[in-house]
Amino acid sequence: MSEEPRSPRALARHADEETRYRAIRELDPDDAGDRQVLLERLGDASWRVRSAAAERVGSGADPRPVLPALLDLLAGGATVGARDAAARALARAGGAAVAPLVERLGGPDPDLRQAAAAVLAAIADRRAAPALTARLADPDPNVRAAAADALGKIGGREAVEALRAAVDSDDATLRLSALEALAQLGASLPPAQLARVLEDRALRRPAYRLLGASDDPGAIPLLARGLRDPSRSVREAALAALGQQRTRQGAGALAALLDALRAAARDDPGVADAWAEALASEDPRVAAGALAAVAAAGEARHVAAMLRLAEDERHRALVEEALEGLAPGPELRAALADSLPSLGLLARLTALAALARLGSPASFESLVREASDPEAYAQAEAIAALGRLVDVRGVAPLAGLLGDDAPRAAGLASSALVRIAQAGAGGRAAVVAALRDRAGAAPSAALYRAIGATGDAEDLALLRAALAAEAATHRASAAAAIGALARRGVAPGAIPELAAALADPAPAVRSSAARALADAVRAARERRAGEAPPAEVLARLRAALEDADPGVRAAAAEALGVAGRAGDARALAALAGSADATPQVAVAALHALAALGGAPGDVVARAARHADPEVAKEAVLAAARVPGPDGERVIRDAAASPRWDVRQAAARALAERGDRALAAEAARAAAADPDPLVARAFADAARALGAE
Amino acid sequence: MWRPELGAPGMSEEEFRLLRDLVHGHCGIFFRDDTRYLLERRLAPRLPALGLRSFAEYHRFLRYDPGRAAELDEALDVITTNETYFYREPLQLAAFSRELLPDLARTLATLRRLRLLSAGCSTGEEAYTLAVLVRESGLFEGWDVEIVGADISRRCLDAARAGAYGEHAFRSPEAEHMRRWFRLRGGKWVVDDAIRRMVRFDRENLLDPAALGAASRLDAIFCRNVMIYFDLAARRRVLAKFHDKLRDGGWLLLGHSESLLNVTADFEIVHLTRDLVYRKPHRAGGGAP
Repeated sequence: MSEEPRSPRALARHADEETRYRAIRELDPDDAGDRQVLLERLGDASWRVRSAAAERVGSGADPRPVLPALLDLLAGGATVGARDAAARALARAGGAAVAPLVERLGGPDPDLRQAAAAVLAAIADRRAAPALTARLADPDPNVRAAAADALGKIGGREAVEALRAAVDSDDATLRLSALEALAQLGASLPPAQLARVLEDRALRRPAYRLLGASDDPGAIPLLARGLRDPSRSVREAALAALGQQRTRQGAGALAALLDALRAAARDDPGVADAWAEALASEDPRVAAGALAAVAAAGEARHVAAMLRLAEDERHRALVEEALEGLAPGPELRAALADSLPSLGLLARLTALAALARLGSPASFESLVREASDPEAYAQAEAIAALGRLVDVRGVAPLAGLLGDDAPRAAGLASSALVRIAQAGAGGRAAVVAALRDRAGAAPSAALYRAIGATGDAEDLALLRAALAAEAATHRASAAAAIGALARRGVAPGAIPELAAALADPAPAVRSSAARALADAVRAARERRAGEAPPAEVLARLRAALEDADPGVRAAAAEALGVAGRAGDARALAALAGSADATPQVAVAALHALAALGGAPGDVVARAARHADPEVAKEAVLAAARVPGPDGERVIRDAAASPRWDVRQAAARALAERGDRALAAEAARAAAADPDPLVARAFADAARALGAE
Repeated sequence: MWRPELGAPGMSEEEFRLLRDLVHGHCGIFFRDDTRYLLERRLAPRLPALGLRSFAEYHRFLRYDPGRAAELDEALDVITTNETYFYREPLQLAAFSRELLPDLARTLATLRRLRLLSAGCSTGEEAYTLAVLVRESGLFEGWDVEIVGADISRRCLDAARAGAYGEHAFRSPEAEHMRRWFRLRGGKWVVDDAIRRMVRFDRENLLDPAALGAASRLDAIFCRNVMIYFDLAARRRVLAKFHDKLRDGGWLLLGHSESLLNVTADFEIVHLTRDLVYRKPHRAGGGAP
């Protein structure tokens, strides 16, 4: 059949590359004729055209009809470009291509076996893991390496175990591929095996990545040795491992290693200089490791290089911590001051904060200026820095930022003030005095929040009065502050105004009051073992279950759960099990029912089918306490959910259910789940249930 | 008796994923696993501001609270705002001035109309830098020139429109000469009206199918260090949008660490003297194959 010269099929064979490229995107991969043209264009001379054809041909609604031709092309395409395009198209076809590719893995042609492994790596489907594991013993070394690489993309317990075994192979290429695959999966090796691997220079870089992921204390001496290695590339690999370790855990957990580094730097100052050079590395793991090592060395001459890293948000907290760990004194002060002119804005703030900590009034004033400039990009950082300084001189300027006109700065200032108050009695006295001072003249939502977090019973009168303030935001914030005082156990006794606030015209105030009542009831119960809330409070909370605002209904449900009256279970079950329940209310009602001893099985089963995943997850957790097959069914269904978070809830419910007969099921789910976070949750559940 | 509140809550992997999925569903921006620190650090102040005790509560707030739409805007502002400065990535801008602007002046000489887009313009430094480069080139006198800055953050756009900058916006040595296009007022460097008139700022979510609806045929797009926030599917969507909005032969300039390899073949790579840039290919007249 002849083609129209302007039809996409004809234009896909046009002499001009761009014309072919655009025409290909018009072709329909589900149309047999168009598909034929797309397959032909996989052999096009232009990589752009091949790439577009691969993308298109693999994206049909049903890729199966095109698979045989793609597999033939993968095996015998005339050019590397055509075979590569076929591989890309097969990868695009995804799961449908797994079975035929696995079949090709067992074929006689090693090139095809290698190509099939590479495509399976791109698809990353766990069904291919057993066949790829078998290929780790392929007679062809390239196939073995490709299989290891693919297992590194696929992951799962089976893949990790096979790769760990392959690390001890006689084949050097396979050892390297297996190590790189394990590193990609974030897995590690036992220290003794790592020590053996580190003997081989060619394997050191991936081996150090595995060291970075190791939680075994036996890995630390290996790391310390690498950090002192004379070879720059080995040192940087070890620094990257240290960076990995440092971002995973605090300095405390690495204390022994950091002490060893300090001693090494003392013995040979050149070592610390070499670490400092790596602060400029473009690899963030190397830079983070260098920062930890240089901080351990504790030399003021490296301060400027450390500070430059504070420009990068990823490293700022580590830089701040490192500077705090340096010995205070004139040498450090001079190094900080000298570095100021060469620093960007954010690193400069870090330096100013460090100088202010060392007692420099000018630096403190600079920080206050930045914190007070609403247009400064760095305002948030400057306010946070003032909070971290825990210096009472910061209280007045921070309190000055609590106004309602700039809520973002006010929220940050409120947090900074709380931090200062938490640091000690002197700071707390200064903060509380400043807040009480401002409460009369310049009340604000942020100010009430800060009072809730730092004040005491003396502030109740002020907050009660604020429940009648004109601004709803002030009333809501005052209610929340009373709740915070109750939570902290410094607001004893009933607060009738809070119950009255459940009738406030503003929904935000009503829900805030209901949450605060829940806090007050919980605190009273904890303090006086099971003391019941006043009947009038309970009556108002029950009435609030009918509130027009879902936020208020949800908060009231939570509060009734905390109150612990079994008689409220029926009303809460009605809220939790309704198919059209507002999600927020259903979640709160399920939670409250759990506090009352558990939700009925039928309510849980209905809620588990709710369209909103948050309700479904809460129901799955509640199912842990539903006895018999009903509860198990809900958990099993959730374990097969396409949503990772629902499956994770199923794992938690399994653990909480405590039925050891389900241990094997949890272990199977751990091995099969494609999501590492969920797989870990199932593995935790399996362990909790006593699985081997 | 003094009792403290609990310290600042950390963000668990689960909370990170829930928040990431929510942001992704809302606007298509996808935070990679290694950016949890960024979400945690930037969103942490929102918790006390809203009276919440954990990121799980914050997630619920963003899903259910009546004020969720405003809070989502606030969260996006916080997590997408990035400090930038004038004349960032000077090598690329020099290449743009020396090679691409003369090319554009030649190609568009009949039309005498130039349209540039600074996509993900943050607080406007890039858009104003481009305006200064166009102006100082002297190649477009009397032309109809428009430089559009587009960003998702209202707060950034307010700052961009105000056009008032602190000393640190000029931190790049190459930006020093740009000061002549600014006037120092109240401690801030305020952009000159001659430059301001060349630039317009629009609120755009690049991942919205309707994005750039008002933009006319563009001659060059700068999108530097923006797509690092997007997953592959979102990158492809944005690049398809750029491809659609660029005229044939129009230029696409990405950040120096960004590449289109394995993302799209829509653009061709062009080697300039000291830089690599992308171009939407010209189509031939379309004769017989």
